[in-house]
Parts: sequence; C-alpha cells; structure tokens
Amino acid sequence: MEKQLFFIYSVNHALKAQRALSKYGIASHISRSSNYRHVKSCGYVIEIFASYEKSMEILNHIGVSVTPLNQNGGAKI
Amino acid sequence: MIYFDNAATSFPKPPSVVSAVQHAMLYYGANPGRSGYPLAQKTAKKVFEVREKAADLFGIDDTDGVIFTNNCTSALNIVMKGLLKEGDHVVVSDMEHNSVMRPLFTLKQKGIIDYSVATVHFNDEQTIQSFAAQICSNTRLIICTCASNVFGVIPPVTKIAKLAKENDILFMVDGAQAAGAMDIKLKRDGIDFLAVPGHKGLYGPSGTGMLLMQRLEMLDTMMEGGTGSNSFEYSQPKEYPDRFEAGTINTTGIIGLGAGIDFIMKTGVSAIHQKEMALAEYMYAQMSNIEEVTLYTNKEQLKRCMPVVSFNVAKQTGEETASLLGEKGIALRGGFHCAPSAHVKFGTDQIGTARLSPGYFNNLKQAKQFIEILKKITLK
Repeated sequence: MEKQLFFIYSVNHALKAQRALSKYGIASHISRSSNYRHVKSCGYVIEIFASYEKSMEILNHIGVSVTPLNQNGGAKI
Repeated sequence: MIYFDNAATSFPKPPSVVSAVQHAMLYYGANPGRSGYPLAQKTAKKVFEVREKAADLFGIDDTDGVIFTNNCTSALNIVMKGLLKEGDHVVVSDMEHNSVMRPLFTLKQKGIIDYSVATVHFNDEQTIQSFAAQICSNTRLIICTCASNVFGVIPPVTKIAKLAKENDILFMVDGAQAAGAMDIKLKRDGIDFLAVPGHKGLYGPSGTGMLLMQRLEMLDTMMEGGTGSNSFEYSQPKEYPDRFEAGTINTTGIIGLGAGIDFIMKTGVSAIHQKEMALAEYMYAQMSNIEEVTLYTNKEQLKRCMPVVSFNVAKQTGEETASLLGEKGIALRGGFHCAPSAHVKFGTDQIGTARLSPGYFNNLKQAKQFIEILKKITLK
C-alpha cells in the first residue's frame, strides 16, 4: 500500500488531519518527529496510507500546512 | 445549603463531569503535544476531541478556532489586546462586565484606543440605533455581552452582528452567562469571537474557558512560550490554536469540560434554558408579591432575560441581603457583580443587588424554600 510521510508542527493539526483522512476512509498514524532521525525540527510525523496527491488534496482542504518527507524521514525535494 | 449562585459558577456539576475529571487524573496524566509515547498521544487526542465538541456546540467549522483558556476573562483579553492597535475605537454595551471594561479602560489609559458605550433597550430597534450612533470611521471592534450577569437582559446579538458586518467591524460576544443555556452558533449568528467560561453553563471545572473564532483573525499574543513544536524558533508559532496555548494546558479541566459539553448536548440547550427559566419565573412571581422586595425587570421583560434575577429587600444593600440569606442556608451573590455600568443603568449603583441565579440542578422545592426564607428575613 502506498504510504506518505509528512511533517506537521502541531499535534492539533496532526489530529485534525487524521480526523479528516478517516472521513475518506484513509488510515494514518501519528508519531513524534524524533522517531525520524532525519527530521531536525520538533513536531509530529503523520504517515498517510494514500497517494501523495490525495493526501495533499485533503490536507490543503483543511488548511493544514505540512512538509512532505521521504520514506526515511528526510525532506522530500 | 441551597445553591442559587450559578451565574458565578455552576454547582453541583453533573456526575459525569466529576467522573471525567477523576478519570483524567488517573488515565490521561501525560502532557499533550510534547511527546510521542502512547500516553501523551492518547491525552492529546482526548483534548482534541473536546475541541471538536466545542466546535460542534458553537457552530464553527474548524477546530483551529477553539482556543482553551483559563476562563472567559482570558479569552476576552486575548482578543482585545491581540487585535486592537493604536488609534482603534471600540463600541461596547452599557451592561458589560469588568472582564471587558477593565482591559478596555487599561488600553484607553495607555493612549492606545478609545471606546464608546451604546445603550441596550428592551426595544431592539432602539438598541441597534444606539450601537450605530456610536460607530466611528476607526471602530475596529464591537463587544456585547450575550446576557447581563446582573439583570439577565439579553441584547439582540444577531442584529448587532449584522450591524457590525455592514460596517466592516469585527464583533465579539461575551458569552459568560449564556454559553450552554442559549443556542449560540458563531457562523450562523455572524459572531467573529465568542468568549466563554468553562465552569458556568458548560458545567466544566473551574480554571477552564474558551475563545472561539469562526474566522481566524491574526491576533498578537499576550503570552508566549513552549508549544511542544519548532523549539529552535523563538517566535511564537502562527498556527492556531497552539499560538495562544503556550505552556502546559489544563488537561484535567479540559477533559472535564468535554464531559460538561456532552451533558449539554445530551440534555439540550433549550431544555436547560427552559428548566432554569421556569424556576426563575416562579421565584420572580413569588417575590413580586412580597412588598419589601424590589425587582428591576418587569414580568414581560423577564421573558427576554436569562434566568438571573436581581433584587433588593427594603433598604438593605445587596450584600447585606445576601449575607442574611447565607446565614439561612441560601447561597447567592450580593453586591455589584463586577458590572458597575449595569447598576448605573438600573439605578442600583449605590446599594447593588442580591442576585438569584438558578441552575439546571435546582428544583421547585428549593425555590419554594428560598421564598419562605426570603419572607422571614423581610419580616425582621
């Protein structure tokens, strides 16, 4: 299954994202960013089990600002 | 003791609130938003669920617009001190609590803003005319209570909201006496900011309150500090609600508040209001038959009030009456209730009033007992 990683500063926004995703039947998992050693800033990483496009569409719709990460937790360029 | 001081804080709390607070102390003890271990995540989720409940109760689309505060006063201050800039003008009603008037007065004393006071009448058209007459080219904000904390009078909030919108002015409502007992929906009613206490009509614990926003205005912060995110950045985060929740939040209180909101949703705002009003109307009717008692709203006006009845006995001050009733086991507040302009309006600025504010957990038997005790003290 396709999986996307995004960095989010706020736990409230991570939870808001998770709630919105679940309305579309999309599973997600939130963890502290310190679990990803490439992420230098403190906040949260949300794993989203959907395509990048669909994930971004939902996150943009609810106004949650994210930084896409690669599968190691590094910044996606 | 018979407790009729629900306008100060509701008591007793629903058993579900008491259980939720205890449950939070036992099972949600971690600091939300700081760590990734399961208890911290579980606690953060529980707090977030309260945001969702509050957004639902007050009709806002986005949980980012639910900011937890210590009380209603904090919420009001966040807006006044975060929004108003040098040269701004504010219009307020003549029934505001000191939680509105003191911050405004402080800002005025510092030469930052000016404000004007509009009169609330029992005629909506006259009230709107009064507010309209006070609007200036630099009016940035209109503030109005949803209900007077002294006399229960309900201003036409949705009509004032419409006036504010027509004039491109932001509108803040002080929901201290109305939240939980009056149907308030920010989006529907055109309210930009709603400040509410958690511990009154929402039946939460003391030390809880909320600022609710339908549109996220970028406000300056009154307080900065840790949010558990972006720690190497010294500027306060711009993201709502984190921007205004620096430091560890009152997790236990917020979870208790969530149970209070559940209670309201289950019972129904309208059912709560009707029960409280029925008790207020009964006691009002009985008191109006006691010669020594002075009431300040007439029977028709009472229908447009929240269940808050101010009264005096003979020539006693409100504090004296409250004290006498207190000795007989009746708990209510006497004095000026932190709202001097409301007393000036009703001519009670010399003696204050005793204030009767029944809550959902009062009953007719208690109301009858109160009337009997009141009759006894008036005979002295």
